[in-house]
Amino acid sequence: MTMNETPSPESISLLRRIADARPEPSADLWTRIEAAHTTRARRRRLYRLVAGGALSVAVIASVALVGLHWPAGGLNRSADIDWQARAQALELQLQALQQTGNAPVAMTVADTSDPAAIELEDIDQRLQAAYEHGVYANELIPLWKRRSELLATLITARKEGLKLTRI
Amino acid sequence: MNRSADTDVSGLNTLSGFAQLVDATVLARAQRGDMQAFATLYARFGQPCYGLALRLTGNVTQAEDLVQEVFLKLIDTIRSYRGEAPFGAWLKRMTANAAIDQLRKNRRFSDADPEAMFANLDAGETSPAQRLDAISLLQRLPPRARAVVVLHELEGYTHTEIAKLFGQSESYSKSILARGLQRLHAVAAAPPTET
Repeated sequence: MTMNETPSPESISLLRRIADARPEPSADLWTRIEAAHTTRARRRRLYRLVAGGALSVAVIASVALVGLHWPAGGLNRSADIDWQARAQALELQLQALQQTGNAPVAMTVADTSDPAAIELEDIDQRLQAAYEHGVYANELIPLWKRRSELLATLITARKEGLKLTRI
Repeated sequence: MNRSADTDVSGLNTLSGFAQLVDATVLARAQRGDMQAFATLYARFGQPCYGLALRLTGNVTQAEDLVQEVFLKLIDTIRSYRGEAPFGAWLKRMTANAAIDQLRKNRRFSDADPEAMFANLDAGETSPAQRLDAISLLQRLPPRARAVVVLHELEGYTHTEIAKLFGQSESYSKSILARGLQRLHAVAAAPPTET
């Protein structure tokens, strides 16, 4: 039997009746659609509110977390400076100063009466402990920064032949 | 669009079915989210939308669910309607697509094979009451065959369009249409049985 796509007269008549039929939906269908729309809109608003709240909490938590791991001084350019390299360079400069005899021999880094030298020693111990405990690199930055500042102070004092009594 | 004499106060003229034209102000109001404008659109297009849904699904509850789904989608997407096609044609396509999506979701093993789809159908006896209700006779066709017959014979879809909707070949659409019409002929020509 071949497949024929042409409808028979009986089928055409039936199709015409189907096409002419005007079935009506339930009288309350639009009310149900409106109610569904209202519910959906309310749910979306609630979702947006919850999602917005969750996002705000996440942002606040992220900022707080970053703040905990950020060096003292906050979000400034000091984080971009390699304080470790600077401290090492300053140390070499200080050593050179001592070797050229620009500074009094008694005033060495190891001078235990010099508050800068005492703090420098303390910083070195804290750095050592930090490395041993494997702390985050950003937690070392304040220590290297402070070490640089102390070395710079000592260099200035050595150049001017001063002995620091207070920092 | 100029408002003509046969246009009522709602801004919609008196043509029937999906062919009704919509006043630009009603569309603009709907696009601004005015629910009263959507109520106006439903008042005119709810019936043709439901009629098509019922022909495609063959089930009153499913057809109403489909109309609800289509109008909720309309509320969401009407802003994207740019007027390239008449509004009724756009809504008709949305309704047909939603019905086909539902059919594709409820896919049965036999749907891929037109021969299997028509196998084991009963002989097609109809009561006098059924014969009076033309739409109920459509239920004698398998769901996909019903959709192909309605879209091709009543809604003017081409086999290419139907094949695309079902994700099948044109020959699949042609084969189902031929078998569907044959089945419909059997239903229409069969003598009514007494109940």
